[in-house]
Amino acid sequence: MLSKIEEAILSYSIIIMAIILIGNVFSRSVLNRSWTFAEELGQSLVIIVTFTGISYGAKKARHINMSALFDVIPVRGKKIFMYVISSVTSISMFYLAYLASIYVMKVKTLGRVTPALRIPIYLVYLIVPIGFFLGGIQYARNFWINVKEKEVYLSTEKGIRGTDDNEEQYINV
Amino acid sequence: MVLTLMAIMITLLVLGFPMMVPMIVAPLVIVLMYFPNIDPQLLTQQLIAGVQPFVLLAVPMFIFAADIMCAGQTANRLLDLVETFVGHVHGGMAITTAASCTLFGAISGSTQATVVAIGKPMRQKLLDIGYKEKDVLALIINSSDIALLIPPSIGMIMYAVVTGASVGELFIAGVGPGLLILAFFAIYSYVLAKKQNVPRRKRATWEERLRATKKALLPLGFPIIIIGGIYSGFFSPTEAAAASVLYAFILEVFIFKTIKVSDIPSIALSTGLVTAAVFILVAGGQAFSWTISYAKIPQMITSTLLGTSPTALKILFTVTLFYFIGCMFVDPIVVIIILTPIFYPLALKAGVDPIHLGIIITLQAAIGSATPPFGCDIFTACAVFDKPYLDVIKGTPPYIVMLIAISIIMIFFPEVALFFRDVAVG
Amino acid sequence: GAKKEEASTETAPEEQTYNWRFAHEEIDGSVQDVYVKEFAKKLNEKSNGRINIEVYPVGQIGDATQQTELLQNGGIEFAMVSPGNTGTIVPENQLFSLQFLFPDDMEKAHKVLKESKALNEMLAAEYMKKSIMPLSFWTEGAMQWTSSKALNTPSDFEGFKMRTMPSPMIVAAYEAYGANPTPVPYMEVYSGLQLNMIEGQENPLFAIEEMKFCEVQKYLTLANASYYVTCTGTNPEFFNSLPKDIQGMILETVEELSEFGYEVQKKLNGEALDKIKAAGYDIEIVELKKEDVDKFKEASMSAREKYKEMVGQRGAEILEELVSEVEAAK
Ligand code: NA
Ligand code: NA
Repeated sequence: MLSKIEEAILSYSIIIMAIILIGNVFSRSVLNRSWTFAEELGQSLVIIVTFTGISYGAKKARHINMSALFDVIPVRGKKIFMYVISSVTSISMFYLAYLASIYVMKVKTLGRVTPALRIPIYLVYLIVPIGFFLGGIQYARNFWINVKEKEVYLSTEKGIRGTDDNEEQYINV
Repeated sequence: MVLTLMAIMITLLVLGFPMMVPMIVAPLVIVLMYFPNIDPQLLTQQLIAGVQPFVLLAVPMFIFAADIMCAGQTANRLLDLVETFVGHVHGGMAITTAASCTLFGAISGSTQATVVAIGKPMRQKLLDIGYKEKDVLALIINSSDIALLIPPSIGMIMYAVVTGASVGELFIAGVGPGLLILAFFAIYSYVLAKKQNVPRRKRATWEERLRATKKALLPLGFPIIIIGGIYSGFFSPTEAAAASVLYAFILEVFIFKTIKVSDIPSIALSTGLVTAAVFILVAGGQAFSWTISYAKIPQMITSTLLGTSPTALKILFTVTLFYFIGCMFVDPIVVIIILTPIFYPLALKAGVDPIHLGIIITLQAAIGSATPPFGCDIFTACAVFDKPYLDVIKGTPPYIVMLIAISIIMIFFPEVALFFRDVAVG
Repeated sequence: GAKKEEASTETAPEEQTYNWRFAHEEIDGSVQDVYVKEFAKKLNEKSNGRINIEVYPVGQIGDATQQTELLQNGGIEFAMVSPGNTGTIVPENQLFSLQFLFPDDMEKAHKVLKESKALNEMLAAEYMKKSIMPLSFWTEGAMQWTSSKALNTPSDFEGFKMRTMPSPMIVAAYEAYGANPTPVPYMEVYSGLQLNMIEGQENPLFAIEEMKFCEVQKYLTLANASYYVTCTGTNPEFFNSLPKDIQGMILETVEELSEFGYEVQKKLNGEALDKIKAAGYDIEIVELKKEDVDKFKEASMSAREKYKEMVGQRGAEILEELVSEVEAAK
């Protein structure tokens, strides 16, 4: 369910970005009237995509990392690495969610709005604490699946099956 | 403070944490430890600010267009056409890749968008032909960065904004070094393909070429729309990205009929995922760079390194080092904003030509983002191609050697950059 | 920063020292930069070295909006809060975007800014509600136009693609002449003009010179359409927590800098115009005729109505008060 919502947000934000940009070109050159809201709407969508992607990327194990060391250590080491990485990341995400929610409250009190549409800006920024919070939950789930299962899991949806000669293959869950 | 920052960053990075953690947690720890007057929640502001620039929209748009083209036939038709013309030359396709990255990057203004838009179709093709993955990836990330030197370059505009140098002169001065790097890469690609004996196809007949051209006629509209649209002032580079999405959509859905409208959301989802993975690092990079600016760390380090009246050469070498390291972590544009005001007055005092300095800075920004251990383009490539870090950087050492050679040439022979400028300005 | 604090306590161990931060948006040697450095120098002297101010130029720690937010949250003690960029925080300040409102004469405009009750009391009160304490409203110069075609009368603006900031009031000001105001990020303005995606832009002369817009434009119209106003701002909580004598030093410095800022902008904008003339650009420099200014003034009235409609009752009152002050100054 949550995945579906995240997928919809990511996907339609990208589509709407394209529509706004193209629409603005059309309006400016054909109707001779620029859309003054294009910039702020585009920026808002970028913010939404970026922070929605935290938990979704964590679920798909698609966040960028430097895996050089992780790739060469044996399977048992990988397991320990995953415990440390997912728990520390999860806690960091929860703390960031907390900080971001204080920030958003503050922005709400100060009453800043977007320039053209005059939408209260805190409504857009709300995605930041939500994104970190869901990210925290997802990394906690990544931690838990590694506790529960024998194999090493990069995320709840992507595991590694180690073999004797230490070559791994991905398993999809 | 510097040591704490570096220690946290590097430990978390090497352990294989998602990059966003060191990027965000390291500055957070610095603020908590050293700046009691700052409320740590304010770092949220910087995370948001990082993804705020409107020009960033070009990145997801070019990724989206590339995703649509690769899902359908557009990419293949273009590649087939190129192959009939250069497929029989040693390294022909690799050289074409380098040239396309340069051209596309120059237009899109984004090295990351270039990695995706050109890299994605080209990589598959090169692998099919028989190139090695490591060489292909290294070629793509390094060629994408030449674009920073070819106008219209956002890096140069930023430098001009910060220093008041002439944008026009910078643009002209960037072309020489840009082409020089392209030439180095082309020669390397030729030599490498010959040495590895990468299979070549038979020289295509003119009949085959004509057939391929006919098939590629509509896809060839892309460069025309993008370049024509921008240079006729019909749209900005950011909007050109969206226009290419529309064109790809029309071609694939209505003309080639290879994909359905209902396929678009899932293609957009993959675009959204890659965009998010890259942009959360752009956001973290902003928090990171904000913290070091607030703490005035660059000023601290430069004053110890340079003293009060350094020589021109010493400054240029320090500039090279700083931008090179800076761009490993953070977007080149941000690095230019933070570091340039520190070096510019010193360089001017030492008699360095502002345009020469601008080109050195842009060059280092480009190199830094493509060379290991860290670099935004490396990370973009990891995300886009879903490849482990080591695979992406394995082929880069020869490029590093070439780029260092070019940096040294640029420092000692400013004429490479200034020749064209002097001819144009008189 | 820690090292510096130790050093300063060493020189005056018995006394309280102050380490503050002042952020502004402009480059080394620009109007704001010169002003802020002078501010720091004067306060350091007045306090016998007890007040030290770190300057953060070029938006190094954030653009105008972010700097303002840092100020509101106590992350920095002083900032240049330019109304052009903070209309999203204090909507009433958008009256600075209205055109042909202030006297054409720079010196008179300067006097109005300094003495206006509408600005320094009524508008300042709106800032205070948002945790910003304006110490001084002052101008960095008049807004001038560069364009690819002549802009002598309002009708020349018909359908003209004018680059503006994404502020609805600036947009309305140009819509009043029938233009097609096109918000473009500052970074894209140069290439936008070069490639004719936009046909013109407005800025003070020093910015026009810095950004080399004349390289890619045909006309420079000295319109004095509006004034680029900025505001020296501090955090009210911070200010009120200071001892009375320190507060006095700050206010005195701001007062002294009023004339200084005026002279700096006059010098820098004058030099910018000289540089533009000396550079030999293929550009025609135009001054608006008196009767054309009147036409613009008339055409711009509808934007004032738009302002009142947009920011509401309080804004309308401030504007009316300001208009009467401007009348009185003539
Ligand atoms: Na470029
Ligand atoms: Na690098």
